[in-house]
Amino acid sequence: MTHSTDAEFTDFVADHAGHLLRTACLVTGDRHLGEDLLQTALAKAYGSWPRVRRADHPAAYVRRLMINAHLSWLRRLTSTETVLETFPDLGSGEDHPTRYADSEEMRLALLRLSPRVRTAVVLRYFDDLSETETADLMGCSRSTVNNHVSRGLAALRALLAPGTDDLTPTPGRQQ
Amino acid sequence: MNDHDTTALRDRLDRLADRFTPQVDVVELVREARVRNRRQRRSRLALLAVATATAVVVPVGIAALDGAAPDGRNAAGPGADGEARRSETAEQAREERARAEDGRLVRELDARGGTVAAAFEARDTPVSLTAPAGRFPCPEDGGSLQAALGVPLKYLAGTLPGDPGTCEWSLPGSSAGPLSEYFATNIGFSPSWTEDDLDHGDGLPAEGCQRTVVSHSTTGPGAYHEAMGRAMVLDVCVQEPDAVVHWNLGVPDTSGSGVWWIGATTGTDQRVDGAAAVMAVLDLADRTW
Repeated sequence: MTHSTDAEFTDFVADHAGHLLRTACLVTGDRHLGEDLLQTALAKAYGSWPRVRRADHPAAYVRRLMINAHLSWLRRLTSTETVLETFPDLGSGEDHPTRYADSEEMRLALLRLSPRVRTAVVLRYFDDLSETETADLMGCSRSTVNNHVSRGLAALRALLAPGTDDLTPTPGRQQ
Repeated sequence: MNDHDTTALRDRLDRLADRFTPQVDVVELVREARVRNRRQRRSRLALLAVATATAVVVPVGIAALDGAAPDGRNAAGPGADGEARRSETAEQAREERARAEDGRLVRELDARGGTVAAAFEARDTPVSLTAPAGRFPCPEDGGSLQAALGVPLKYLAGTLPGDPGTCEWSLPGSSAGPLSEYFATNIGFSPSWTEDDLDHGDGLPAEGCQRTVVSHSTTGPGAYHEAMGRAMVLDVCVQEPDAVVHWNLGVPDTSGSGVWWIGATTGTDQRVDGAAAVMAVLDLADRTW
């Protein structure tokens, strides 16, 4: 890779790694797995940077690499192992206790979703993708995404304590 | 549709991401991306070379390549223009070797895909898979697969279609053993998918994969030819970091009601040839559906 393309890649990471890492942490439910997932996608992007930079939306392309890697991990796990969910510490909690409790409750609720359901919910409501875009990223049909999201939202409603937010989320962007 | 509800979930995910996500270290991310990329290319080459010995015979000059080994040890001698020049020379040599490795990897995977494509083209009768309506059971009896592949196989589970629902067979004890000895093969069905979905939207295989378009020896026009005349798509991929090889064949349903997926995963020991497994499962599916 030339110095100029190295510089382009570095600029890309500086511009987009923050949001990609947030998505990675949410879909994996684990900050360390999230970092590893992003790193995996960036390594692939680095290896085929000319293709990535030609894409209409390079960040979306790398997000696709990331979700493919995530679901590929899941496919391997489903045929060989049981997915073991972890409940890592959030690290130093300087926030106000109420905000900490709110985040912790949401984190634990997300972790109780199956990995594919969690992925669909995060892509739909954190990355604000449409059903079609989410289906495309996850390599499944729109109806499967719809099913995942419905199940995920029902589970979250049951898991999250009523009070601070009226969480009865709805389908969001349709196409 | 309730905007307040949707906003509530988005806000909570945002707040969680704020708390949950570590700070981004751009320099470290870029450095690690380079390191991983190079390490992956090295491991792909080394382990594919092992696998090739028992799978597809392709002339590979591994020894000659390794003999060059321009990784800095032999590249710059004493008396050069200093550390910077030596480092640059070593870097260029590594890049050249990486490009050579990538080229070889592509040829390896293409050759593997080519064996399946050639086998299909030699078939007397084209494949025809037609999914029954609703959910339908797997052909649990793996006897024909065992006979075709020459190994005992254990049927794991499955009803189609499903998510991830597949019919899956594996070597007994394979899951608990070393990954190098792992073997499993499966078939799944994605209803409502189209041939366009075979391309995963961008027409490109995933990284680490090579794509082969597999054609049929179809004869004459007609509905079947219309349905199947376009391609089946075979991706052969190397999974990092263990160099396990994944085979994934997408086959459009003859009635156009979806896409079938036939997969095989083989460890580096290649106890079962992945191409043979894909063919055997396709034959079983062809007889069943």
